[in-house]
Amino acid sequence: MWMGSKEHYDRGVNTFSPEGRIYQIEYAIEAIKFGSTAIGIRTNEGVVLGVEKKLPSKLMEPAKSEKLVEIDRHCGCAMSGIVGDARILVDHARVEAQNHRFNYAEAMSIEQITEAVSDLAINFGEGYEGTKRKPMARPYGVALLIAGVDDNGPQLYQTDPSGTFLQWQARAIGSGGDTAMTYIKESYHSNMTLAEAEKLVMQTLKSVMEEKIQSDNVEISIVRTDTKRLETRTQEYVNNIISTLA
Amino acid sequence: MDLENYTNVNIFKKVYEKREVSSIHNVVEQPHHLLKDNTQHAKGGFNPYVNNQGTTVAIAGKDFVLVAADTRISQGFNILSRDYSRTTKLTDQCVITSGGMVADIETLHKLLIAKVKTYQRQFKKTPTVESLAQLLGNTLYGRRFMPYYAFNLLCGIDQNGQGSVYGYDAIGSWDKLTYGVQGSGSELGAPILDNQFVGHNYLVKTLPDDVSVVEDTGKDIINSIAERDIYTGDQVEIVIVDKNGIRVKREPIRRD
Amino acid sequence: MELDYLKTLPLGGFNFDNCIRNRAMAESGILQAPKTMKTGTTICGVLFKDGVVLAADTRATGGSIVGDKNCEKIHNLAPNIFCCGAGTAADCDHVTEMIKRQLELHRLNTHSENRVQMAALKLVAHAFKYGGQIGTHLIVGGVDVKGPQLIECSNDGNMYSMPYHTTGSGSLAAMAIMETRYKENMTREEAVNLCIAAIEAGIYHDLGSGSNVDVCVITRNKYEMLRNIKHDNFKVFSKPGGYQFKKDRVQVVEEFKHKLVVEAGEQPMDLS
Repeated sequence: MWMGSKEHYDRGVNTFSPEGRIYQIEYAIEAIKFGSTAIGIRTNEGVVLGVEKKLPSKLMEPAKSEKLVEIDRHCGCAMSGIVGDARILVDHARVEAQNHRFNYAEAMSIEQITEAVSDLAINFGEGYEGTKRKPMARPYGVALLIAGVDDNGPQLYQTDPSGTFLQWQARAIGSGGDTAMTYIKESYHSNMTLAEAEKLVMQTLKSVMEEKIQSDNVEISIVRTDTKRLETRTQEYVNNIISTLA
Repeated sequence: MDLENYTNVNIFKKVYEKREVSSIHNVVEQPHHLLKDNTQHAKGGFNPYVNNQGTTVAIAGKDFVLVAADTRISQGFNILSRDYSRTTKLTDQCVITSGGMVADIETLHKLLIAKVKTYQRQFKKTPTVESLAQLLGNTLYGRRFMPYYAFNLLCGIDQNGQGSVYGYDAIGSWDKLTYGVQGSGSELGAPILDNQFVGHNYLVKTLPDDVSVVEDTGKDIINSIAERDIYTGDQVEIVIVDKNGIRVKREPIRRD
Repeated sequence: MELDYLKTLPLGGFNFDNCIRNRAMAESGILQAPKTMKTGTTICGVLFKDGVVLAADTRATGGSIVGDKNCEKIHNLAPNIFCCGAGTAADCDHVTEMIKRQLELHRLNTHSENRVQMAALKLVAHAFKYGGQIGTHLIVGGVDVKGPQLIECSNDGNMYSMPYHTTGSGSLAAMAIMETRYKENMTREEAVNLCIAAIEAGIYHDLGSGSNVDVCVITRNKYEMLRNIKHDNFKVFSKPGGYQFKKDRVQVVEEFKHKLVVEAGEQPMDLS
């Protein structure tokens, strides 16, 4: 019998294998591991997001804010994986966040933004009859770190292609994700200041990055608890942190 | 028409030719003559709206908000109900009170309750009064060309613990107020509210802090309106919203 | 010829020139004909063994606003004739007053008591002359040489004579009571109670009627006006302590006082 032969269950994106796995989702999760590293750390003073920007060629212009984007005034997003897929999810999250403001005159909670993203992420495959918009034919090959401040304080969430989302105190995704997690686990404590968290993000990035860390190949953003506003750190600021790193 | 060159004869000539005999109406005033607003087909076809009248007043206080409304429902010169509640609880900290057409008011209130429940399930929290204010505005404007015939006051305690009142027209124009009045007795109630509570012309903009004084004033206003507005009467329903929740009480007023 | 237009004028009979003019002006939108005020009302009358009972509510309305909470709707036409009025308040007041004077002159000329039928006929003749434009819906009652009489006079010129009548916006509510409880040869007390019940039905179930009940009982050589025989409707609650009108809460733009000066030589006005 051909049962158990993996290839047979790769035809349809929504077909379970006899072991109860959907291979396409698992492959999509694998795709993230090729992505550049992204790190998020939550402290009581706010949340930090940091990403590595890979520059394959010296001739390439270092793009600004490609992997670290704003969803709403109070919420930012770092990503790892297929950046094109992420853009669809981020656009969706932005629309949802604005809709919430329009309908309820308040900021959408970070959990809800994450849920909205995950709802779209699992909506792949053939779609339903009568649905106007054709969904993605395959899972989105990207994981997102969604960070922000809402009524419940600073929050950090991570989504993956399966539509699962989890809340974290600190999380790293991408190619250096596992190494970074080990590194962060050693240094993280719940009473960290925001400055300490920023430094930890940079220190971790420095240790997992293949290239030398510079102000033009990393980027960090924060959302402060008191202002509830997303701020992107300048290159000078990043340089200052780099100079203090061990 | 040019009044300066007007002569009786010219007008007479002009109109005489196309003169038609109008039917003689029996103008004995009896209730069925006054029911035509809804049952007869008007110029533009069927008119789906009817005004069931009634008055509602809302006053915001420092840490409470009070609604005083009558409980009479009428159509033409007939009374349809003497104990209708035009105020609905939306959350523990928020009520809506409306004047206008009962069918639309009930539908709108039910819809809002459903929207509040959906919100609670989806966002795992209770909507604030500010959120509901925006939601109601959008809900009303969503029916821009076939509006709910309902004139609303949304009343509740805001996130700072202050009483707040939001006033609406039928198609969703709204504003935050310190007091409001809607319905058939609104013209009679507005002046005394303007005088007694914090208006735009006031130098000292502090909200009233004594709930019993505001309650007496609200009750008196509905009683006074019932004296002169034929559509207001039967009972006054007092709804008080504060940090402890919502209290409702009723007292009889004139029934004629 | 210059006077040709005269040929277009109708010859003799009624002249409706002004109706046509009024309509033309209304259609042109320059002038709107004044609207009459309709008073929602409940009035009724009942015949009983020895006479007639008339009753009315006391609310006068202009649209949805109560204009008078305790007005009189039972008018006196003659010592032995009274009349309840519904419809346009001004018409009822003036027409009854006019007929009252005519009846008095008739009494002086003939040295005899007025008949109810004559009063009713005069009212109806006047109303008919105006083609229903005069809003008088009256119930005339009295006792004359032919005994107790009760006649309803419509604005269109009709007269009806029945043992019980109701008119006004509350007439349906009142008639419901009349139809269930009326019987022939009632005593005075029964008749008064029936009328009160009928008017109260109007007061409580018709928005155009309200406040108190007035009753007038007319018997041979005697009438009794029972004003506000029922007065159950009043303001239930007033704010204890009344209202304060705080001056300091609004901005005072300017404050001034004038003293009244009497100049020398002038005498102050005598106010005694």
